[in-house]
Amino acid sequence: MKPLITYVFAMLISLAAASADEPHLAAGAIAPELLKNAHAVIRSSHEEIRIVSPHEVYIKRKYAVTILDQKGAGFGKIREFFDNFREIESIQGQLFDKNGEFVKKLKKRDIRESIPMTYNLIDDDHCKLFEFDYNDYPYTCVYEIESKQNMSFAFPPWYPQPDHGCSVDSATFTIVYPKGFALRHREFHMDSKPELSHTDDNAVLSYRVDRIPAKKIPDEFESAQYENLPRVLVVADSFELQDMRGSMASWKDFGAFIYRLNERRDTLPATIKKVVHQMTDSCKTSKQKIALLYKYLQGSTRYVSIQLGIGGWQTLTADFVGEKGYGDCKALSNYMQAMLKEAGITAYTVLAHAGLKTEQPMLNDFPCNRFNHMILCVPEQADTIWLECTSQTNPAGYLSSFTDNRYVLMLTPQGGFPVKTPAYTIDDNLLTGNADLYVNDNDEMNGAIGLKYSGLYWDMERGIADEAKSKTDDYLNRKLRLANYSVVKYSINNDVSGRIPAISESISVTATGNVSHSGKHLFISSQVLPQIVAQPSNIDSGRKSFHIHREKSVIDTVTFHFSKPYVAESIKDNHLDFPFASYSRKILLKNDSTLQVITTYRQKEGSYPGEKFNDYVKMTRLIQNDENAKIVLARKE
Amino acid sequence: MSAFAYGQKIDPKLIKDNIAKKTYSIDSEATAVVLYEGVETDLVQELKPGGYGYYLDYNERQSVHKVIKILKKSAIEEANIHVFYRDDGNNSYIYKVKATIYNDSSGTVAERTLGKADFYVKEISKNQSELSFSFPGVKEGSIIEYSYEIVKPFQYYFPSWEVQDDTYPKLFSYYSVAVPVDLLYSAVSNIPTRVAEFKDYEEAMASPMDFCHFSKKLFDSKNKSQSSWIRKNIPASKEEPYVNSLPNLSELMQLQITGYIAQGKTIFIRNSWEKVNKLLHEHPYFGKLVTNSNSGLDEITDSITKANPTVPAQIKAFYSYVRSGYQLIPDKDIWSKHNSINKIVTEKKGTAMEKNLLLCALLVHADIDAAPLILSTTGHLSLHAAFPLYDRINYVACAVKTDSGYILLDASDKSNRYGVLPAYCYNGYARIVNDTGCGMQLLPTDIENKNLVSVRISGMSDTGSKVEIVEKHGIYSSLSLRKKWADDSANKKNFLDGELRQLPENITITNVKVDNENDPDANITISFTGTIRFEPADKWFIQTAVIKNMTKNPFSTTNRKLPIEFPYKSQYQYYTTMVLPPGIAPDSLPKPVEISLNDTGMIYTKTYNYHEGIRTLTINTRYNLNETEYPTADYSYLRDFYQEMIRQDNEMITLTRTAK
Repeated sequence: MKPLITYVFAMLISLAAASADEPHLAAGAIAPELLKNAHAVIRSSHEEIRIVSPHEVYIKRKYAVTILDQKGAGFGKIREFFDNFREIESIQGQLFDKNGEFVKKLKKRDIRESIPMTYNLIDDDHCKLFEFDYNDYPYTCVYEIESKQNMSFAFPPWYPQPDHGCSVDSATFTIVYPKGFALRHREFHMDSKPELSHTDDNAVLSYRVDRIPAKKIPDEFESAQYENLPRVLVVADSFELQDMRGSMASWKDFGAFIYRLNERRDTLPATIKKVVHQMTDSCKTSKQKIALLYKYLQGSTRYVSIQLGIGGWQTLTADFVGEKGYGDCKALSNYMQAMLKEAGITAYTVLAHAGLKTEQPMLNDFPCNRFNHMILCVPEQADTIWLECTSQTNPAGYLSSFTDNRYVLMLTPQGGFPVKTPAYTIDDNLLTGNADLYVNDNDEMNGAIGLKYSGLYWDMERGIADEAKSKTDDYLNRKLRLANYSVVKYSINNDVSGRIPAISESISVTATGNVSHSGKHLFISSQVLPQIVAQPSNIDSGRKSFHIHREKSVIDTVTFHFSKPYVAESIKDNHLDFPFASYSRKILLKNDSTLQVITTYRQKEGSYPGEKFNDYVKMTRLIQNDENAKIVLARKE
Repeated sequence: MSAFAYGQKIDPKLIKDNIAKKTYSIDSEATAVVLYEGVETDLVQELKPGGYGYYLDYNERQSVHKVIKILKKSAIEEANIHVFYRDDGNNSYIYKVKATIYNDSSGTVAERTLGKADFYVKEISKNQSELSFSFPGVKEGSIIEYSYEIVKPFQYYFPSWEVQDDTYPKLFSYYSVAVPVDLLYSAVSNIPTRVAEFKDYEEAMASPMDFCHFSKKLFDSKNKSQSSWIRKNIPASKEEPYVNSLPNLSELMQLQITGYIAQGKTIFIRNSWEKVNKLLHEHPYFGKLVTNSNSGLDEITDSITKANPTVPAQIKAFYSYVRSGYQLIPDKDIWSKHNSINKIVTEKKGTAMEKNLLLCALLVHADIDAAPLILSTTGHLSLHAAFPLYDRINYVACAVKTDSGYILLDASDKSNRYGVLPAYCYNGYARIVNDTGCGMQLLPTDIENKNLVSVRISGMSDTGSKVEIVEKHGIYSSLSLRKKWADDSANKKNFLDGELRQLPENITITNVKVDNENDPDANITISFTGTIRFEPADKWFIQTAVIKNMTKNPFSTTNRKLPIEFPYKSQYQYYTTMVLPPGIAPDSLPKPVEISLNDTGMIYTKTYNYHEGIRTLTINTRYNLNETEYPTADYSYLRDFYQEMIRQDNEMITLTRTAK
């Protein structure tokens, strides 16, 4: 699926602009409140989208940005993307020093042409790059960029604040479009409302924002980077893409367009048809057929991204995939759909925004194209089966954290229908750990450790099953919390036979450092298995809200066997209950010579008010303190 | 192993012999194996005099050929090929692109050659293009083969022969250059095997030797000499912790033009350090920046020399002036044009190289014997003492000659310390550039870091005590902290948070103080003061190291391939003093510990003493790293050594109430 990289990257510098007429560009004139957390300040910006017709759209951006320090230097760079749908008509720029005095002009010959870094094998994306070779901070760049696009399938969103770490003094956004042209817009994190005015032929929609302070870079507890920033999405109800016309007035219409764009591309090569029948004709259930064909897909194809022109949205044919054995998400989904069709099973392709769930959620009440991926949905009588056709390892029906638990758009001959992908529960996402360790008189240990990663834990661990041994060694030697240990034996089993995949690891170890003694006392650190929950890297309070993106659970049991009898000297159970998670640790001394530590942790998914973040930090600290606490036994006299 | 290629033609037996193989003894866990790789460079056209002494007007015709066996899914990405090349539509282009995939089809080789439609060319810019293609039907067991030729103007550099890299083991690597006989070059290799000379390819292949060379004369439009090297059975290199410069330990060969024959006369260029020294010393953008009259520096030198009457004080003052008075900007290549001294002074900023050249210029202007010091930093290939592979030079510092030896200075960063180069400068051979020039070795054993931690526990009662922890960081530890903190204030917070987090849960720190943070010539000292909380009891269990030198063994893997290199010598001392109240005494104390590696290379001691009269318990720990390099054979001992240190850090002692 071709992401709209033109626009995503343009957000970084989606600016608007200052004209040379702006009176005062001296850095000293910046309001003090705009300097806090800022590495750059948009002094003024103006962005205009002028829609002449569905296939003629002009975009003009003028902006002045003051770069305060080296970390802000990126805001002074130009990265303008272009492809078959968009051309850059002109780029102009001027540089001013800290006093607002003119230093130099952008020279056309200094603009470099390059290609963006993507995962695509081949695409038609290009970019123009420029930056002033200057580093006497602060300084101000004034740019004016004009571009033209020949489609109305998507317009660049307006991001008045290009990124965190950049504040905005003032910014405006204007969309000029013909009267009667159906245009929708949606604002996010914007206090100001748009103004609509009219000229003889056009409607003019205008936005203005002022004095937006810089924000700290979001961490793992916040929404995806751009979702926190003020922005405006603009969508045409009727659009043109290459020589095709479509409607985005409803999800049904948009789904119908994408369906139409991709229909009749499902002819399989005769050899593949034969293979399909050989594999499935004797199957008794469609579930069996789906599982066999999915396995065949995984074994005979691989993900290779080719995005050329409209091919960003239109699939390569099933014939192509059958012939080459590769394709992108659309092509592989289409190919799998064609194989299922050949086996008599109806499946539907589904548009999704893959990745972090909160990054670009599908807006049910605002149809617009925010998708970057395609999966397959096979409605079955008992249960719907979802297929991630780019994965060579997922079990049939398992979507993983890439596309789970979110709204997606199913494409049918009747149009598009928003549906929700399955969520994996706290019990699906389970890590169980068992350590059985024998301690000798020299405080050395040996024993067996078993770890089982299910559900979304499997997502994180599955790569290791196919890695070279050298990488496995590194991985193994980092994963346990034993102070010193050597892995004597290791085996791994990847079980993808069930609904939820699981990886089981068996590790034999020898270890020292977790047990020590002084006189008759024995000191034991039960930190053996992987860390349950990490302390946040950024413990700053002051955030508006925070998110725990996944629910999951951990059950760890660590058992120490001693050669001599002991009595408990300092043993303390613990139980913590927070809105985000619960934690408990039970310590049992059995038969004088067996110590068992059972730890459970259950984390809930959710969004929480910012003022609760301190409680979350406190919880992680209490858990760490509890795990750090040494268990003390005394030799039984 | 004979089914290989020569002259970039693959013997079909290579494919046949390997198509069904599942593992290779060179690395039984490899995800892919390079069966063959070859790079042939052929120089055509002529060397012409003119311009800046001479220039090379050769075209370079480079043919590349690779055959890779895919063994695991994680290597399937190798089947997506991207080749970037210069494409000006005239002198630079790519051609003869071929790609074939081989699969095992029930015991026979199924071969599929890519057609024209499978190759995609994308124009990146006016002179740059990218060729992309993907092999169809690739799976575990597939063999992919591709080759192409690139033609471009010869840019004075031969491509390096990167024999070993960190991707996959290679069974066979072939490198060849065909050079007109009137062009001279030298080859420098760090392949740790002696090269064996052979008459021709067949003889080299028949030999059991793993590193072979043969040469022959070619007679085409111009007399040429072709030199070819073969390396067999090369394991993949692997990044491991505690390696100062992985490139120094990876197999590589570099070729460098050293002269030419013109009108029957041999003219040598840059074939010795003396020649490179002369070139740099007289270069208008390098040595001349230092040795020019630089009258624009009069005012600065006058003011500094007047304020500092002695030469040592002047050196220090010039150093401080450049270090803190000039902004550091990102570095450029040593061979690119540097700003003039006047411009650096006017703009009050410069690259590391420019700042140090300015320092040299100021010192020379004040009649102090100073000169640029050229070197290669850690992480890069070291300079070669015997041959001037000058493209390895990537850093310039300053050397000041005094009666007692050289003072080495690096004024680039405001965190740097007087008289000490940052640890990254200690990567072997370095050269002082002046009228005579001289070499020196900068080795990690030349420098040392000494950290000291003292913990004092006092005012002990049944429910708690006072604790004071002082961390005195050594030169390199202070430098590293200062740089990180200056880079981002969050780093300081994270560091201090990290120190607090490792304290036992019953310690509460109420005050943290950092001294000398802003004085680069002093060591950083961090003091923590707070309390320890005790539960009322008759016994208390105390950690013998509340701040740990390390919590995890840095040498975690069981096996290691590379020698172990530390960036500098180290000393770590940890003193705990515990003043006990009357009626409380330590239970039996552990015995003193002394462990060592390589006699005196690495020593660890830990002693416990209880002075009953003053009711004071002391625990003294000392760790000395006196050698910075350890052979791979010592790895398991070193691992055990660290293991024991960590074990000792986790030791606990018991305090017992002896009387109420």
